[in-house]
Amino acid sequence: MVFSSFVFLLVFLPLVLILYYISPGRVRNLVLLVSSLVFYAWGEPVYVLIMLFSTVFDYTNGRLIEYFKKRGSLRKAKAALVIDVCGNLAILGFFKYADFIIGNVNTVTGAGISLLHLALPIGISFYTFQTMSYTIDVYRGQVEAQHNLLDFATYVTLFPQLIAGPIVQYKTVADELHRRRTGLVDFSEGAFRFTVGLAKKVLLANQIGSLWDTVSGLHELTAATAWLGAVAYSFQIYFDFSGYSDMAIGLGRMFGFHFLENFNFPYMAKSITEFWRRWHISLSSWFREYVYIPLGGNRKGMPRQIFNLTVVWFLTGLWHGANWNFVLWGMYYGALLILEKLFLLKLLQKLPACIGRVYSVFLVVIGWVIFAQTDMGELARYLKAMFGIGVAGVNADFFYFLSNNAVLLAVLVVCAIDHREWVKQPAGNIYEAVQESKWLAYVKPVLLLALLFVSTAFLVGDSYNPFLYFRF
Amino acid sequence: MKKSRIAIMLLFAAFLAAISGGSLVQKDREFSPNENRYLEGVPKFSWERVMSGEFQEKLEKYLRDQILGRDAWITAKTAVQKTMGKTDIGGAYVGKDGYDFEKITPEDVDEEQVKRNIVAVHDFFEETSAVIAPERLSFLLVPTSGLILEEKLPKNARLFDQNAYIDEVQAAMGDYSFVDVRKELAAAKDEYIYYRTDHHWTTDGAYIAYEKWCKSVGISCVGQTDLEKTTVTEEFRGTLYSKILDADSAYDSIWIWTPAGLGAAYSDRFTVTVGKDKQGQLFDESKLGEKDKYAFFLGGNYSQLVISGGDSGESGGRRLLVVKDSFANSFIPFVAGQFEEIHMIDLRYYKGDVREYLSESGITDVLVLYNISNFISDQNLYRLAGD
Repeated sequence: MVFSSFVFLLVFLPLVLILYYISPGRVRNLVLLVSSLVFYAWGEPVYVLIMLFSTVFDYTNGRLIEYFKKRGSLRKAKAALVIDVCGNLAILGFFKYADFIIGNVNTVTGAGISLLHLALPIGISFYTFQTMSYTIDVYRGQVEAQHNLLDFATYVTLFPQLIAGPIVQYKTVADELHRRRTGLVDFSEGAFRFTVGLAKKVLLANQIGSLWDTVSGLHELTAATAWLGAVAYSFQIYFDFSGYSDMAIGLGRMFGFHFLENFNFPYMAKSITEFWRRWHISLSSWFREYVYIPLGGNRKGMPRQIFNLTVVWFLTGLWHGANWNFVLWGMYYGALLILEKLFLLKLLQKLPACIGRVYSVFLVVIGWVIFAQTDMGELARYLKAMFGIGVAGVNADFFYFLSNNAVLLAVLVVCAIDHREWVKQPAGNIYEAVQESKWLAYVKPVLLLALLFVSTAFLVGDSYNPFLYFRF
Repeated sequence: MKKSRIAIMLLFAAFLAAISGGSLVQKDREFSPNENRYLEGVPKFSWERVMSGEFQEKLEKYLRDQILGRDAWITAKTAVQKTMGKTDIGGAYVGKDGYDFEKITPEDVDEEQVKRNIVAVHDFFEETSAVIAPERLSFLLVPTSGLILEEKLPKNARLFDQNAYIDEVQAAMGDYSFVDVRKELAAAKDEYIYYRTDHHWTTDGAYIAYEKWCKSVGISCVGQTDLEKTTVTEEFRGTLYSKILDADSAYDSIWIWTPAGLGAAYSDRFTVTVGKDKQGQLFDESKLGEKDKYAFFLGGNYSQLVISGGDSGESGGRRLLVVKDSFANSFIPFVAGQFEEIHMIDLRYYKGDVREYLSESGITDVLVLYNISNFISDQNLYRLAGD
C-alpha cells in the first residue's frame, strides 16, 4: 500500500487512527503491528512472511547476543552477530541481487544460467538495514536487547517507514516503542507534516514527473530539452522522496514516534559533501556508522580513506538497485567525494557560496540522469544529448515543455529553497519569529485544508502516480 | 498556538471522515456521462484475487471512481492546471478561442502499423479493381483539427506530422482516387468546420469534403444553396471535453444540412437497417438527450448498416460501400440521396469478410473514409485484404 492512494487515505488511515486512539496503551503496539502487516500484505501478500521471518530471526539474535555478552563470551556474541548480519544480507542478496549476479555471470562466462525472476519484496532494503542496525547496536552495547517480541515486531514492521524509509535506527525509537505519549501537539504537527508530504508527492513530484516521462521517451532530443528533462527528474525524485519521508515522519508523530529528519534542503548544498549530509540522511548515516567508520573511516591515512570511500559508495550505489547504472551512480559520487576530500572542498570554501551551489546542482542533476536511466545505451544517448553531442541545441518542443511547465518550475524552485538562509537576521532569527507568530497560527489550518483539497483533486483527476522505490 | 493545533487536528480528521464517509454513503454510479466511460464497481472478493493483487488494484480504482464529488474534483484539478498555464491536460491540448485538440505526439505513432495499414488499403483496392472500376474506388483521409486549425493550438504544441503521413498514403494509392481535402479545409479554417470540444469535424467540415469527393469520383454534388441548415443542439460537449473536464469549457452546436423545409425529418426518407434487422435512423434525435450527442448521426457506433430508399433513380442503381470510422457518420447524410444503397462497415466491430460482402451486396462504388489519426493507429484494417 502506498500513502498517496485512496485505499490508504480513505480506508486504512482512518480505521487505524480510530482503532489506535480507542485502544488502551498496552494494546496500541498490537494495533500498529496488525495494521502494519495488513499494510505490507496489501501489496505483498506472500512476502509478508519474509518480513515476519526477519523479525523473529533478528529478535532471537538480539537476545542471543545479549545473553552471550552477559556471560562474558564475547566470541559467541560476535558469532551470533555475524550470523545475523549474514542472514540479513543473504535475504537481501537473494531477493534483490540474485538475477543481477546471474545475468552478469552469464554475460562474462556465457553460462546461460536461467534467471529466477523473483519480484523484489517491497521495502526489503529498508527493513533489513533497520534490523541490522539493531543487532549491531546490541552487540556494541549502545542499546539494550528488546525482550518484548511484540514491541520488536512493531519496530520492524511499523508501516509509516516500512516501504520507503526513512531508515529508522532502533536506538532512536527504543524508548518510544515501550512508552510514548500522543497528544494534541504530536497529532496536529504530525497531521500537518503528513499533509505537506502528500502535497509534495501529488502536486509537485507527480506533476513534474510526467515531464520527465515525456522527455525520456522522446525520439528526438535536443540539448535544451535533455537538460529540462534532467531538471524535471531532479525535482521529481526530491519532492517524491522527501514527500514520502514527510508523510512517514508525520504519520509516526500521529502515533507518538519521533523519527529523525531525512532531508534538509539538499539542493541548497554548496558541495557534494554537503549534499550527502542533506539528502537521504538516514541512509548516509547508516553507511557512515555501520560501514565507513568500522572500516577505519578517515583515521588510517588518506589511501585507506579513499579505499573506504570507494567501498561505501560502491555499496551505496548498489543499495539503490541491482543494476550497473546504480553502481555507476554510486561510484560517480564516490569519485566526487574523494576529489573534494583531496582538494576541491578547500577550494570551494574560498569561493562565493553561489559558485558552490551551481557546482553542486550541476553535478547532482547529471547524477540523477545516471540514476534514472537503467539502460546503459539510453543513458549514453541521454548524456550525449545533454552535452549537445549529435543533437541540435534547441527546438520548438523545448519551448512547449518550458511554457507548459513554467509556473510549476517556479513553484518547485521556491519550494526547494531553504528560506531561512535567505532571510536577513538582524535581531534574532526572523524566520523563527514568524514561526512563533500568531499570524502563522491562522495560516497553518487554512494551508492544511487547501493542501488536502488540492491534493485530493489531483489524486482523483490525474492518473499519473508512480511509486519510484520499487528497485530499492 | 493551541487553537491552531486544535483546528489542524479537527480539520484533518473531519476532511478524511467526510470524504471517506460521504463516498461510502453515496450511491455508486455505473457510468460517468461527463467522462463518457463506465466507472469501476465494487470489486469481487476472493482470496485468489487478493493473492494476485487484482482485488487491491480494483479496489483502488473503485475508490477513485466512486469518490464523493468525483466530477467536482476533476474540474477543480483542471482549473488549477489552467491557472498555472498548462495547456496539456488530461491527454488533450487546451487551445485558443475555446478549441481543444487531440494530443497525438510523434511517439504515439507506430510506424510499422502505418505501413501495414497503407498496404492493407492498397491491396484491398488492387483486388477489388478486378470487379469495380478503379476510379470508383476512393480513399478520403480526414486531417485532424490540429493540422487545419494549427494557429489555435497552444504555441509549439507537439503533434505528429500528419502532413507527412497523408502524403505517404497519397503516394501509395497511385491511380486510385485519393481525396485530399487539406487545401479545401484549410481555406475554410475561419469557419466552424471542427467542433471545439470534440475531435470530429462538423457538418460544414464534412460538406467541404463531400464537394471534393463528388468531383473526384465523378458524381453530381448537391449544392449548398439547395440545402437548409437546421441546428439540432447547442449543448454539445464532446470527447475532448471528457478528457479535460474544464468547467468553463464552451458548448458546441450540432447542425444538419437537408433539403429545404425538411430538417431532421429528412431522415424519414431512408430505411436504415443496422446489422441483420435492427431499425436505425440517419438522424437519431434520441441521442441529443445523451452526453455523446455526435451519435445523433446514424446513432453512433455500429458494426454494419445499410441505408436505402433514398435513390431517386438518377444513380442508376449504384451501391456504395463505405469502410469507415466515426468521421463518416456526419458525411454520409449528404450522400444518402445519391445511391440506391449505402453499406457502411466499421472494421473495429465488423468481423466478416469484406470482399465477400462486396460481391454479395452488388457494390458498385467503394469509399474508405478515415480520420488520419484513427487510420494510422487502426489495428483492424488488415482484415480488408481477407485471410
